[in-house]
This record gives sequence, C-alpha cells and structure tokens, in this order.
Amino acid sequence: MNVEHIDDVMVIELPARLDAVGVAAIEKNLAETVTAHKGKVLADMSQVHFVASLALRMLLTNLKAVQPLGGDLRLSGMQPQIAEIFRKSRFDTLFKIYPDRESALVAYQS
Amino acid sequence: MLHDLLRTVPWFEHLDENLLSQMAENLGQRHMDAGEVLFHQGDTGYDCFVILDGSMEVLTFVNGVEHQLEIYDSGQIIGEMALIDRSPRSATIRAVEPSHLVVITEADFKTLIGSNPDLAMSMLRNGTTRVRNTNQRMIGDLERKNAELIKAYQQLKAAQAELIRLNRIEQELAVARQIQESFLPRTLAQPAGWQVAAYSRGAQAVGGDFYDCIELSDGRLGLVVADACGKGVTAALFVALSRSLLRAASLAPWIFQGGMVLDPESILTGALWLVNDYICREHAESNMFITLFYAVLDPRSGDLAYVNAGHNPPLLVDSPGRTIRELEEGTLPIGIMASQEFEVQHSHVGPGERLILFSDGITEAMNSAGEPFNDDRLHAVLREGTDMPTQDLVSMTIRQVDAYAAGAPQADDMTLMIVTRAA
Repeated sequence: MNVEHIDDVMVIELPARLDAVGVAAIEKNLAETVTAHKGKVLADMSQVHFVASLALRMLLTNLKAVQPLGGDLRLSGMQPQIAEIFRKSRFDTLFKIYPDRESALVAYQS
Repeated sequence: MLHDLLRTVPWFEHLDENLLSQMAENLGQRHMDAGEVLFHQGDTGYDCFVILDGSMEVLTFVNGVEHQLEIYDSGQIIGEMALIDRSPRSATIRAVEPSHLVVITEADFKTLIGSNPDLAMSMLRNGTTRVRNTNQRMIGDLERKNAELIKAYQQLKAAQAELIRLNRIEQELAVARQIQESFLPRTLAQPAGWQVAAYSRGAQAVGGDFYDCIELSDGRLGLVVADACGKGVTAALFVALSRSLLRAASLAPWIFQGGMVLDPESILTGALWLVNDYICREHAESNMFITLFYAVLDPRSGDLAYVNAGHNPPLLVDSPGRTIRELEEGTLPIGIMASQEFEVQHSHVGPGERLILFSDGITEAMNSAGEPFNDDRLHAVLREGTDMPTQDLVSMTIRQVDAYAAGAPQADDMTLMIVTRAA
C-alpha cells in the first residue's frame, strides 16, 4: 500500500486484488493511516482489478471514520469492471468518484 | 630415527633401552593419507597402533549415519580392545590428516606388558578411562534422548488437544450448516403456470448468501436473493438475522408494521425498512451490509414489484431467449444508512419469460487463471437452456460454473434462483 501526500491530500494507492486476503493484508494499516490523517484522503484504485464485498466494507468503514473528523475519502481511477460493481451495489452513491487521480486532486482544491 | 620417535611416546618413555631399540627395529609402520580408513567396525584384527604423528577419528554408524565418537592424537593407542578381548573391531578408524602409526602385533603387545609392569598398569588405566568415558557419554546421550522424548510427547499431547478442539469446532460448524440449510425453504411454491427452482452453495461450512420464496397472502410470492458482506460465520449470523426478520415482517405485516397492509409496495418497503433500521441501529459498529433483491410477484398477472438493495441486478430473459435484460439497479445495500428509503420499482414477467436472480458468486466464480465466469458466460448458458425445464436450467448453470472453475477453490458463496412463466 503506497501512501503519498500531495498538498493537503493523502493519496493511497490500493493493491491489485482486494479479495478477503488482500483486504486482511491492508485493513488495519489503512484504518490507522486514514484516521491519523483526519483530512482529505484519495484512494487511487487504478491498480485494482478485483474487489470483494469485504473491500467495499473496508472503504465504507474508512469513509465513516473520516467524515466525522471533517475529512473525506474519495476514489479515483476505477477500471470498468470495478466501476460496474460500484454501480450495481450503489456504492457509487456513497463516494465521490473521479476518472483519474489528477481530476480528483483538482476537485479537492476547488 | 624411529627409536627417537618412540621415546617421545608417553607409553614408552620409561621403557628399557634394549627393548625400545629392539622394537624400533622390528615394528611395522603405517603412513595414512587424510580420509584413509585404518580398519572398519566389525573387521577382525589383532594388531593395535600407536599414533606417532597426525590424528585419527573414531567413527560408529547408527542406521547408516556416521557419528564421530573421538579424535586421537599423537601418542595415543588405538585398536587395543580387539587385541585384548579378541572380538571384532568396535568402531571404524579413519585418518583426519596424513598420519604416521606404528603397528604393534599381539606378540609385541604381550612382550611389552610382560616386560614392564608400569606400562601394563598404564595400559589398564588407559582402558579403564576409556570405558568410563564411554559410560559417561552413553549416560549423557540417554539423558538427552530422554529430554527429546519428553518434549516430543508434550508436543504430541498439545497437537492432540488442538485436534480435539478443531474437531469440536468442525462439529459445531456442521450443526450450524444444518441450521442454516433449514433456513432455506424446504419446498418452493409452484403457482399454476409457473416454475420456481433455486440453488445455493457456500464457499465455506456456512455461507453469507440466502434465497427465499415466501408465500404471501392472496397467492402472491415474495422472491428473495441476498448476499451478506464477506463469508463464513460472521456473514452467516447476519444471514440468519436478516432472513428471519424479513420473512417475519413479510408474513405478519400487521404485527411488524402496525397495520393490515397488503399491497406489494407496502410489504416491500415495510419489511426492508424494518430490517435495515434494525441492523443500522443494533449493529452499526460492525459495518456489515447485505445486498438484497426482494420482489413480490403476482402469478396471475406476472406483475413484479421489487426493491433492489445493492444486489446484482436480476435478469429478465424473453421467451425465445434472444433478449436478456438487466432489471434496473436500485438503492444502497441494507445496513449502511439508517434513514434509507427503499424505492419500489416495477416490471413484468410475460408468458414464456424467465426471471434470473443470482449472487455475484456465480458471475465472479474464478478459473485457475483467476478469470471470472462473468456476465457473458451466464447469458450464454441462459440462452442455451431456453427450452429447458427450470430446475434443469438451474442445475446446468451450476454445472457449467463448476466446469469453468475446474476445481479452483470456490472463492464466494453462490446462489441462483430461476422463475419461469409458462408460454
């Protein structure tokens, strides 16, 4: 899990396979990183090609954790099959989703 | 030359000059290369040897494995045991480095100890010390082996306890599985002119998917397919909870929803509101959610009122199997937002049409290369089975998914329900 700071946005690059094993590997670290930051978070999903429902739960948990602290968790760079899962589960209505990292960062600054 | 060398050997330090000179003239000598064997364990031989220079190792073999017992250096005597008790060699002797030895035959040996009582005494002392050392080593070995055995026994006992614990968990899981299976309807209602068939299989002992076919008043059918987030025991507990609440709220709306509501929209929104509110209120901290498709079908008209709470949109297949249409997606899954409103959508199943309800365990079943079965393959199977009876189509679909996975481990629970209206 790659983390970098661009201005006041913490950008986290999520790994390729977010199945039960992939989620278990990053879940704790991600929650600690996101809650410690208390601000704008962008999850770059461009590398992700599989998400299980546990991955949706992990993102939801982090969104719920960061919002009361005045922060937000936004998503970018979804591959088509991942966007399809977000559409069908309507998780696309929970998150602000951007086509790529650049447009997400611009939106955060406006 | 050999005379001087012999004099440096402690055994011969005080030996009579004449005898030593005589020995120096008569004794045989051996020059060994490193790694060269002087004799093997079990050999017969009655010579013994004194190391003048170099070093020799004493080896024994247990189950074909070589063990080094001792290393003897210059001045030490080897092979005297066989000479004294006339038994086969008790160990193998091999040169560690290039070594120089004198050979003492049985006759020489007898002469030596006969002519010099001090030497005889030294020999006896040497032999006794070696026996004592061997005894000590054996006792040490036995103590070490004993400690290893005790440790192995303790590990075995711990492993046995772990096995008993795992067996108990497995038995409990088997019971949980039976209870969960009893949550699925034993028989599926088959209204006149309709066929309903379903299948569900967990990836683990207990699963996070369920389906239901609830016979509502007025002959209507409640059709449910749901998938709790994750799999295994956690998911199974939420399945038990949401399935029971949903069924109870649907069958007795006058108790759970405070009124004699009978229209499909009220049954759907009332039941879903109740389940969602309960999970959000009582189990918010677990962040568990359930994707759920719930439809009320009127078999007389084919009218379908449904709520899709974040579940894979079901498919509507027309009678010749040419068109496969996805029902519109709906709202967020259950368990996420307490204030969620569940919009009821409407569709219609015409004569000869089929409604396909499924969980993502079907379309995301992976082959060994990690590629999913996907929507296209599911559509192809449904087209291929256009003329099949509903139960056969369910079976064939599952068979094709399994054949595609070809033994790759089932990653997710899979559920399929097919509802067919006669043409």
